Amino acid sequence: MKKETTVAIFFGILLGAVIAVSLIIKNRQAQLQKAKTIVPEIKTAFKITPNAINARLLEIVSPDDGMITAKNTVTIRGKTDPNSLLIIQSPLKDVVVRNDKADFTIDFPLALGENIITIAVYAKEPQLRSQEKQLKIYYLDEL
Amino acid sequence: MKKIFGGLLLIILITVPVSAVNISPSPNQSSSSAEDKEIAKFKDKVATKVAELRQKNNRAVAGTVVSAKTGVFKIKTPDTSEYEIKTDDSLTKYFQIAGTQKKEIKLDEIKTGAYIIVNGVINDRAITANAVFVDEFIYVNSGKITEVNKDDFTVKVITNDKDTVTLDIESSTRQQIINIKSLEIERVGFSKVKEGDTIHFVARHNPDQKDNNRYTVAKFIVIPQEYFIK
Repeated sequence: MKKETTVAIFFGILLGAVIAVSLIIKNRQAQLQKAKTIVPEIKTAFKITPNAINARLLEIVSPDDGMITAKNTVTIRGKTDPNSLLIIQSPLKDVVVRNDKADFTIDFPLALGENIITIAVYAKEPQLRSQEKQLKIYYLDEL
Repeated sequence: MKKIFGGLLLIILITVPVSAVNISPSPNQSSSSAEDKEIAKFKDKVATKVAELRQKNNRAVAGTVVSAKTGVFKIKTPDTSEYEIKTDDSLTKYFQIAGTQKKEIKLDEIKTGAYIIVNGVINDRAITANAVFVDEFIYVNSGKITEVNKDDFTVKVITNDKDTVTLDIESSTRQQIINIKSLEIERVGFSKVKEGDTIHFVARHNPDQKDNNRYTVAKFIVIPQEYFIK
C-alpha cells in the first residue's frame, strides 16, 4: 500500500470520527431541549396556588377522625382563616358562623352509632375555593 | 477436656433448678403484707397497660355487609374499602341501634345489605369484633347544584368528590337557606333553590331506589351563589 493511500484512509477515519462525535453531541442537545419542555408543566403545577392556600384554610385540631367515645357530645376544635364562613353539619345540628378569630371551638351533640360531621370553610376572598373536611365519630356506649 | 465440659454442664444443670427453687417462695414462708401490696400494684399496672393497649388498638369501622357466613362478615365501607369481620361466640356482642336506644340482637339477625358498625381490633383489613351495631347509613355531604327539577322535586348535585347524586326533596325535608347579609339560617321554599347554588345536605338512601346515587334528603342548607359573587 502506498504511503498516500494510508494517509488518506487515516484522514478519512478521522473525519468520520469527527462527524460521528458532532452528531452525538447534537443529538444529546436535542434530547435535553426536549426534556426542558417538561419544565413549563411543572411550573403549571406550581401555579395551583389556591390549593396551597386552601390547605391552610381549615385545620381540625380535635377530635381525630374515627374517634370512639362513650359520651353523647363532642367538642370540635379547629383553626381557619379569620372572617371565613364556617358551616358545620351533622344529622343532629347545623352551625353557620362567620368566624371572627382563627380558632374555633364548638360543642356538637352525637347520636348513638356513627356520626358523620362535615366541616366546610368558605374564605372571605371569593377567589379562594372552599375547603371541607369530614369527621366520623362513633358514639358507642359499649366500649 | 471433655470431662471438664461434662462436669461444668452437670454443675449448671444441678445449680439452675436449685436456684430457681430457692427464688420461689416456699409454701411455709409467710408472705409479708408489703410483698402482697407490691404484687397488687404490679397487677394493677399490668391491667392498666393492657386496657390502654386495648383502647389504643380499638377502632370502629362502618360499612354495608356484602357477605355473611357463620361468624365471618365482609363489609364494604362508603369509600369502597373492604374488611373481613371475625366474630367470637363468647366475646362478640350484637346490637340494633334504634334512635337513642340499642337492643341486643343475635348474630343471625344481621343480614347481607345491613349497615353495621364494628368495634374491635383492626389488623390490616381484618377486624376481630368486640361489638357489632346495626345502624342506618346517613349521608352527609355538600356540593354544587347542577340541575333543579321542579316537577319531581329533585336536584342534581356534583359533590366535592366529583360524584353526581340525585336528591329527592320531600315535604318533610327541612329546607333552609343562608341569608347572605345576616348569615342567619332561614326557612326556604323549593322554588328558591337554583342551579349554581351550593348545598349542604343530610340524606338517607331509599331502599326502594335501585339508583345507588339517589338519596332522600332529611335537611339541607343552601348557600346562594350571590354570596360568592359579592
